[in-house]
Amino acid sequence: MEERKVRFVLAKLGLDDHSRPLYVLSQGLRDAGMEVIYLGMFQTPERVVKAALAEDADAIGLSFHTMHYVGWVGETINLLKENKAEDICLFVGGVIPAEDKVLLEKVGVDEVFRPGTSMEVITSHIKEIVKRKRWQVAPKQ
Amino acid sequence: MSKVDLFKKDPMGRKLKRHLKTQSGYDVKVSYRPEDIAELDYERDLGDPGCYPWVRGTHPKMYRDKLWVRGTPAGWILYGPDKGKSPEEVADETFESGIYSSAARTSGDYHNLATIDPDHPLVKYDIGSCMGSSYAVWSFLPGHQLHWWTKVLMRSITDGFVVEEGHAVGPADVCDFAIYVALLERMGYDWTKLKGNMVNDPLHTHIGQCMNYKQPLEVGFRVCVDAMEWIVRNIPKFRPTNGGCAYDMREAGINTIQELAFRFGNYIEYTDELVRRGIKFEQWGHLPAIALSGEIDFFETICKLRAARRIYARIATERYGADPKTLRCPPCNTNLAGDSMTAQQPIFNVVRNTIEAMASILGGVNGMEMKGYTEALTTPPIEAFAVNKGIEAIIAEEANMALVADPLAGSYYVEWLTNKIEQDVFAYLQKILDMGGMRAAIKSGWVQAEVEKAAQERQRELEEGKEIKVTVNAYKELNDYDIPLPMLEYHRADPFEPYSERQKKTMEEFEEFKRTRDLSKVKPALEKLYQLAKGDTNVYPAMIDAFRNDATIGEVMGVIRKAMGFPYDQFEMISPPDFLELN
Repeated sequence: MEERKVRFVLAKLGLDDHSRPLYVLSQGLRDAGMEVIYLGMFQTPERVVKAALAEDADAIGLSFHTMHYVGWVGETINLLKENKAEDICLFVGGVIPAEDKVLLEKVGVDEVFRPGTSMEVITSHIKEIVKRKRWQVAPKQ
Repeated sequence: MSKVDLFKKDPMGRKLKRHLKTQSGYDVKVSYRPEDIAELDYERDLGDPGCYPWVRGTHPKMYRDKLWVRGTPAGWILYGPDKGKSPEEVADETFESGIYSSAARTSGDYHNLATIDPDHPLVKYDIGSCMGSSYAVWSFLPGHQLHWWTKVLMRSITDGFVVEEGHAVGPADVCDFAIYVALLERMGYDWTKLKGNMVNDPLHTHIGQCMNYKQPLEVGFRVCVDAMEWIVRNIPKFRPTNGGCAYDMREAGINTIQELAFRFGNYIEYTDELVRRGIKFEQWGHLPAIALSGEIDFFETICKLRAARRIYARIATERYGADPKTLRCPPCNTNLAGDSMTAQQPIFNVVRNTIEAMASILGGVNGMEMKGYTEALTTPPIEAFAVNKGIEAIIAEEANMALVADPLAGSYYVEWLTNKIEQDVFAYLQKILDMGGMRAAIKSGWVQAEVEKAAQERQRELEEGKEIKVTVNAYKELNDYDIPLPMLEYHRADPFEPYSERQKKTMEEFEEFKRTRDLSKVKPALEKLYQLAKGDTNVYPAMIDAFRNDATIGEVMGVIRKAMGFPYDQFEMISPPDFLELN
C-alpha cells in the first residue's frame, strides 16, 4: 500500500527576507515524499492557518532568520487554538537559540529545528510526529 | 561519546584535504615564475602607490598617512542587551567608550528596509529590532527613539565623523537620507557639510534575491538614481552610492569574478544614466567607494582588491574617456565575509576574521567592517567588537603590516592572479553589456539564474568536501572541545506577550505622531510628489519636501509606487490613507 503523504504548509512570516531556507526545505520535504503547500515569504499567521485548514494540512512549518519568531509563533498557536485545530502539527526552524527552543516547545511547537540539523532528521521527525499526533498511529514497539 | 584525544590523534594528516583550487575555482600551479607575468609593465599595469591605475593603493603613503576607516554597525549592540537603560543613554555610553572609532553604520529595522510604516500588518514584532524605528523626521527629534542617531549626524557636520548610510537597500537609504536633510534643516544645521557614504544600490537586491521586499525594480532604480544626482549636485562630501553592493551579492553564493562583474555592471548602469543627465564623469566617477567582500581565500581577496582598482581605472578611461592624469581613485573597502563564519566553535571565527582583515589590508583597503565571532549565531555582544578592535590593532601595531604600501607587489603569484581576475571580470562584464547592461540582464532573469547556479555549485562543493569548512565538513572532532565565549544576552520574550517595553514606547510614539501632525501640510506635499512622480523629473527634492512636511516613508514610497503604475503597498495589504487624493 502506498504510504500516506504528509501535507505540509511552508511559509515565512512578516518581513523576514531570507528566502533560501524555503527553497532548500521545499525540495527536501518533497524528496522525502511529502506534499508541500508552498506559501512563501511575507505571510501572516491568519493566511497560514487559513491555508492549513482549507488544504486539510497535517503540519505547518515556519522558518525564521530573524528574532521576531517569538511573537509570530505565539500568534500562530493562538489561531490554531481558536480554530480548534491544535491537532495540526507546528514546526519551527531557523536561527533560534537553545533556550528559546525549550521555550517554544513548552508552549505548543512540536519541534524546533536549530542550525545544523540535517534534512534527514527534519523529515523523519516530521513524519514521526505527524503520525503520532495527527494520524494517531502508535509508534512501533 | 568521549572526545577525541588530540595528543594521540592529530586530525590534520600530512596532505591537504581540499581540492587543489582557489575559492573561485582557479586551478593554481605549485609555484609561479617570471614567465607567468612576462607581459607585466610596471608603469602601465601597476604604477606607484597612489598613482594610476592604483593597483598598489589609493595613496602614496597608504597607512602611514591614514589608517583604514573602521566601520561599526550601530544599533544592534545597543539594543541587544536590555539593561534597563534608554537607547539614548546606551548610545551615548557607546560613543564615550570609543567603539565607534571613525564611522558608524545604520542597520535599519525591516520595515524601514521595506519602506513601509510601523503600522503595516507585516511589521508587528519588527519594530525597533535593529537601530530603531525610522519612519519620519519625528523619529529623530529630541526625546524620541532615534535621537541618538541625530547626534551622529550632528557630529558629521561639526567634526567630520563618517556617516555610513548602510541599510544596503537603496530606497531605504535614500528615504532616510532625505529625512536627515529635512531634520538637519529644521534644527538649523548646514546639511551640505554632511560627510559619509551610502550603499544605495537598488539593483543588488534583485540580483541576490535577498532584502528585495517586492520593491519594483523601476521604482527603486528611479528614486535611487534621482537621489544620486541630487546629492552629487548639493552635498560634495557625501558619496551617494557605492556603485554596487558587491558584499551582499557575494553572500548569495557567487564567486570573485561575478562579484566584481556585477559590481561594475551596476556602477556602469548608474554612471551611464547620470552622464545622460548631464553630470560630468570627472565630478562623479570617483565618488562610489568600491566595497567588496573580505573573503577567507587569502590571496584571492588580496588580488581581487588590487584588480578592482585597475578595473575602475580602465572603465573610467576606456568607457568614459577620463584623463589618467586628472582621474581620481575611489576608496576601496571590505566587509568581512559573514558566510565564512561558522556556528561551531565561534572562537575559530576570530581567526577567520584575522585572516580576512590581513588580506584586506594587504590588498590596500581604505575601510573595513569586521564581523563578530557570533555571526552565525546571533548579533554580536560588545565583547565581539572588543576582539575586533584588538585584531586590527595587532595587525597594524604588532605585526607591522601597515608600514609598507602594497608589500606583495612583484610576487609572481600575486601579479599573475591579479591579472587573471581582471581579464576574467572584463570577459564576464562584456557578456552583461552585450545583453544591454545589468538592468536588462536582471529583467531577462539571466543574472538570477547565474546566481542560483553559483550558489548550488558552492553548496555541492561544501557537501562533497571539495571546499573545506573546518568544524563543518572536516575536522569535526575539534567540536568535542568546549571553548566558551561571551554571547549576546537575550531579552527573553513571552510568545503571548511579545512586545518589549521599548517596542510599546515606539508604537506609542508613532501613534502620537500620526495623531498630532498637521495633515493640511502633509497632504499637498504628498499630492505634489505624486504628480511629479508620474512624469520623469527628479523626484528627490519633492521627497525631501514631503518629509519636511511630516510625511512617512511608507507614504512617500507608496505615492511614488502608485504614480509609477504599481500598487501603493507592494504587499497589497493596505490602501493609501483616506486624506490623499491620488488621481
